[in-house]
Amino acid sequence: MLVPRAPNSLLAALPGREYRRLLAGLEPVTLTFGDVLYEPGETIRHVYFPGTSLVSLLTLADGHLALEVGLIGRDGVVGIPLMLGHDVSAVRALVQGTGTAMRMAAAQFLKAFRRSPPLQRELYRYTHTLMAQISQTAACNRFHVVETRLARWLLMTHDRVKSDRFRLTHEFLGHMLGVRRVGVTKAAQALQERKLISYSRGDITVLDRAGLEAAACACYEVVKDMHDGAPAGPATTGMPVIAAA
Amino acid sequence: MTRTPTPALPIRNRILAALLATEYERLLPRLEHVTWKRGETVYRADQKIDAVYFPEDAVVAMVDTTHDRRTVEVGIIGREGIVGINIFLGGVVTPDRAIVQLPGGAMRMKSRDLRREVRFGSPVQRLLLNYTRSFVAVISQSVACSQHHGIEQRLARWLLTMSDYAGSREFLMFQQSIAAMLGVRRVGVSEAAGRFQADGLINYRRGRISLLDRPGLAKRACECYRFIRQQYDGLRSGRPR
Repeated sequence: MLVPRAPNSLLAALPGREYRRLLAGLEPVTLTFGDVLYEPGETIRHVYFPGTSLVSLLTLADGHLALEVGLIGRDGVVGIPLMLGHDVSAVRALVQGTGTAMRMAAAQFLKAFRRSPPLQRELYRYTHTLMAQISQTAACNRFHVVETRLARWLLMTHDRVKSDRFRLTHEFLGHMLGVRRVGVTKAAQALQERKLISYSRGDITVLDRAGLEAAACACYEVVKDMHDGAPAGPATTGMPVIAAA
Repeated sequence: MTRTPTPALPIRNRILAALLATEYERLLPRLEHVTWKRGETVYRADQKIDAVYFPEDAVVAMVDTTHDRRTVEVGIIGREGIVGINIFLGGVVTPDRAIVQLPGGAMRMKSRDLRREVRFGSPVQRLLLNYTRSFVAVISQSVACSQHHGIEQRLARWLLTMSDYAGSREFLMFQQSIAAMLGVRRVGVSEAAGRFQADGLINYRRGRISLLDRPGLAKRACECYRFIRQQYDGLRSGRPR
């Protein structure tokens, strides 16, 4: 049987046999902008492997303020707590880019996860990558001005949707960056004046990718490197950390 | 860091202490006791990690540094945890710096040994996964905290956390080091500490901090203090499934 390559890079990295075995339990779905996959404190029902979709992890501060801590696209998986032995999400997982994903019911996923050392390896490594992204975000939010952070955020989105055009409202971007709408408006105008993007009623077009990279804070490069160059495996043979018992 | 022959008992790191005696005995030959000084660097950013550490009374801060050399602490690791989660997850380097905040002892294990010993589904793996989950929750909260909470709230949280770890109302800590952890200028820390002192909440002299009124200080702290405590207290009470 010929199976097309998975659009999600974690799934694509699995040996063909492992992937085919997993495929039986994977259901293709379309995630729509604004869908909430998890709420904080709620039981996780499905694990999602985004294809063209994009999912934001938002943490709540003071009960209401939402702030993005991580962004997951085709490079990742939504449902990390399950891999860490918990079935409750600590964050809100919000779809911020409509697109495809593969999902699997939590119980079925856990069964497959226990059985597949290659899957464990990929997903634990991704957990490590996501942790790095989160801590980088903490430092970035602390020190970098809205304009450079907006540039970084647009680049991260651009990388994941693989399209020059996407839709994002100012209100939404305000949540992502943890700033007020007016702050987003000013930053977007500044990027537009520099002819790096065009922005009209929530439609964003990346005009000058290199220029946008220059405008973004260095955190973008750091996070990007983490994704591109996944940490190499240890020198020892196999990965006993995740070897089946 | 000084190394000494490993004392078998008491087991002061909670991950190690939660293991069955047989499992602990199996790991023991791979563990080496070390003592850290204040301010020691355990890991540099992007450096290959040769060993992981299970702190006993020592406390280590994970610090993220931006390209322009500014720092902010993203997580604190004490006796409830392990320094070197990245290794456990299959990474080889750490993106963050690890710096000793409170001096003391820790158990050291070579990364290679950790990889060899931690089998899927083993009790030690479950404990480490559970800790990883809490740590991810804590660093996520740090993102919100560093952005939304004021220096006074964050300083109060930080002082309470350190006092909890020290198991004492009094501990040594220099303002410069606090400023680096909170990602603020030193003068900001001085001013906030001055206000706490004027309100009778703390006493601060030459790097020696005394908490005079813990409940009062807790009222000035952001919610993150309680959040982080809940995460780590949950580790203590709830054994992972």
